[in-house]
Amino acid sequence: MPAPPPDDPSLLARAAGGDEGAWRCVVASYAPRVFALVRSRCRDDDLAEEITQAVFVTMAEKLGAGGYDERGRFEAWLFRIAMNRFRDHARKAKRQASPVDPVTLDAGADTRPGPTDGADRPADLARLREALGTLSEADREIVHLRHHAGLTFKQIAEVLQEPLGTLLARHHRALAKLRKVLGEPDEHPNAEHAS
Amino acid sequence: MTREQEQPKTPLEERLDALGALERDATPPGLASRIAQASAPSLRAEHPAVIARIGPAWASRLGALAACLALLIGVAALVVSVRPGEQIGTPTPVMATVAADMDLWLSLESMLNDPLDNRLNALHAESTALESYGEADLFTLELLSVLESM
Repeated sequence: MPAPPPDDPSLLARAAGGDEGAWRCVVASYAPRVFALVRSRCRDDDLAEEITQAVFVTMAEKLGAGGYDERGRFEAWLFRIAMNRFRDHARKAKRQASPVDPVTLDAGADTRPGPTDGADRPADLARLREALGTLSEADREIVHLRHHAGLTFKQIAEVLQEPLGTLLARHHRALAKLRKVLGEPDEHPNAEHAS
Repeated sequence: MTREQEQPKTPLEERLDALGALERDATPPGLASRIAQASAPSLRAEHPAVIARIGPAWASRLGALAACLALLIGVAALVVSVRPGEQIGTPTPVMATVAADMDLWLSLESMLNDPLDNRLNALHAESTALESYGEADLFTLELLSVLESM
């Protein structure tokens, strides 16, 4: 996982002031992570890019209007916007009963070609991707925020507005279920009791 | 580094991280520049809106002030037009007719209260006056004739 870019107040302030260079720096730092999160949720590159763009437009509007007031919690704020945008889309897709419903696709096993499909792609990652499809929507959301978006548990708690302990327990149960689906033994038997 | 990042990751977590890295590596080429280009105008779009928000606020305040002034002027005009002790309006012909009718009825009532007090002559005079008045209705004339016959 790449080191998360610093939550630089001066960079955000310059971007909010209309400095396009600063804004490009912000987008370049965060767009891949937002895209990865959204793509893992909807399994559609075009849709993921569309939603990612909507996320940054919303962010730019709020920054430009001085609506960002969550100093030090920029990533949680950004990914909360991303999750809200994805949920908005999922709700619309459900209402319209689209034949390519991203939520339905996300809930099932991923049979689409992966981003690095080829001879060198580890087979166990493909199995892992399929196993993720067996998790509940809520558990899969936590795994994606943690491992695809690269957020800390504290940030995930802020994004989902849930207690940190609840998230840790759910993440632990999600991993236990993944191991069960993959037919692997528990890696930390003692941790089961600790949580 | 946060405390949770210092904790060693399990092999499964490392594999999930690797899967996440694959997703991030799958970012389409030029995505960031496309998004930056498309979203940059939104940074500036709100700045004129700040000024625009001031305009409507001042306009609404000005409108409220004008409404208050209009209300005050209206109240002042009403106060000036109605002075204490001054009768509002002038008597109309209809009002005069009604007043005359009232006087007539009052006099008739006093005669009816004492019909045998040798007032018939006076009543006759009244009926004559009513006939000449021309405004009395048939009921009044009929009543007077009945009284005369008593």
